[in-house]
Amino acid sequence: MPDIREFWVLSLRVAYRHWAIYKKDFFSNILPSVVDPALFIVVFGYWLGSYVTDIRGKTYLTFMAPGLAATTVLFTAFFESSYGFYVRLNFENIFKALLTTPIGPNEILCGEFIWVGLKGVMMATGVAVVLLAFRVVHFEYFWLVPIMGALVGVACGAIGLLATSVVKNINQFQTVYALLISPMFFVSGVFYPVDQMPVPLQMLCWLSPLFHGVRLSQSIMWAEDVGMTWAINGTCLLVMTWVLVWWAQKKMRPKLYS
Amino acid sequence: MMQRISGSVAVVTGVTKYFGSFTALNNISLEIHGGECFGLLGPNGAGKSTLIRILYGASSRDAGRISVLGLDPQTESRRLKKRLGVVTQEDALDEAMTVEENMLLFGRFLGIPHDDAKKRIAGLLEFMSLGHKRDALIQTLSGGMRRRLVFVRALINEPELLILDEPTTGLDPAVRQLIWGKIRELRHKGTSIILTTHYMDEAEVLCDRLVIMDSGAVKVQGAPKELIRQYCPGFVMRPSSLEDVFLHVTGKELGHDA
Repeated sequence: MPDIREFWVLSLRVAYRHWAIYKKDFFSNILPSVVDPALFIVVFGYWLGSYVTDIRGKTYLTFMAPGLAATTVLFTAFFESSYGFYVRLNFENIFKALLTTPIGPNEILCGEFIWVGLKGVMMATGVAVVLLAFRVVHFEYFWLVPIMGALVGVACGAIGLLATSVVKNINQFQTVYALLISPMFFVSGVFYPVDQMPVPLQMLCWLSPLFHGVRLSQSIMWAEDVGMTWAINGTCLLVMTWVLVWWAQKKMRPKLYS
Repeated sequence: MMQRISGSVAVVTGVTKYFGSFTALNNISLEIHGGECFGLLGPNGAGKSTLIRILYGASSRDAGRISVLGLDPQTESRRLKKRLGVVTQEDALDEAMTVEENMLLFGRFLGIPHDDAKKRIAGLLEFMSLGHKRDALIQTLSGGMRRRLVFVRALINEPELLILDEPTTGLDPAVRQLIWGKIRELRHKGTSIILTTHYMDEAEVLCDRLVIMDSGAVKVQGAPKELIRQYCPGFVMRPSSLEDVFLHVTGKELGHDA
């Protein structure tokens, strides 16, 4: 088998392993990702949203709903490749077993990105279906949802892997969560338009993959400025994903193979 | 089952490995013959596991040459690992899966077709007296059963060379005896074996030849009986054992610095 083909086959086998474990407990695994957004819709969208009658010409529910698809992907991907990867690496020793087979460190990392991208697709699509059920979003551009999910998933997964490469013990992920993931969640334009924030913060927003994911999700689900948004924010997210993946594999590789 | 390999299965020439400024392996040279059981002994931190990982391509070397089954583990690890079986020190099993599922997953990593793998697994589980545990979850297995499973998992690709990194550490005498019996059986069928262990009786019983390493260097090598004759030619009160040789060459005899 040519090297490059074998590389992808082996990487897919790594991703398959993660899927095989995940599907064992599929219901428990998928439940929070669907219930959380539904609660957000009811509590913030309907109840709190009734006090905000007009935000950029939309009800608060309509404004907030699309961002939930992207934020769900952020949390899923980050936790998978931070806590999840750390446990596989240091507690379960799964990679030590994989490295005794034809799978090498590159295939382990590529498999990890394939898996986190797939989880992004599943989560974004799952949340979008819930939003459709609440009849708060448009359907025409729905086919773009999995693409957004995959991009945000891989980018945020890479952030998780970078975190894994620097933490000294599993508790330190809380620092990363508090100082990076949580702020990203609150200032990425999900709950209010970012142009209401101070300019320096707005500029920081452009460095957040979640911000671009939220913009893409909004364009899809509001069916507004789809072409322009995907050209600008889509390109930014793609470049960011590429840089983060490159950086994460460079930092993580020595932990798997030295 | 397989042809006994004539000539060498592994040739290590002048291998050196650094971790930062620490020299883990210092100019190691050794040769392992086809069909023999070759022991790597040494105190904790002697470099045994590092050398083992380098031999099967899970770690890199900084200097020297290695040929295992005629392949260079650093550049041809994929091809090499298809022909090897490795029992790592850690069990590294997927807890949420059954015994058979763990084996099937491993077969998949090695590219063994599903039906083929299923047949082989049935035979291998019987071989290690684990047939009745085929559908048991890993979390329900005892330590001894897990170790036996990791052992047969390494046989799924019918390896020409089996690498055993402390295969019996922490096991009760009955399971140790069972594993010893299986190692002998495999050796008689022509499988070449590399074994690391802290149990001198294990090395004395199983190994045709062995090296004793300390501080990243080979201190002595030879057949167990020869080494005993050469280094500890009989104490007054009891016959000398390989343990006496070990303590002598690693300077760990009482009265040195213990």
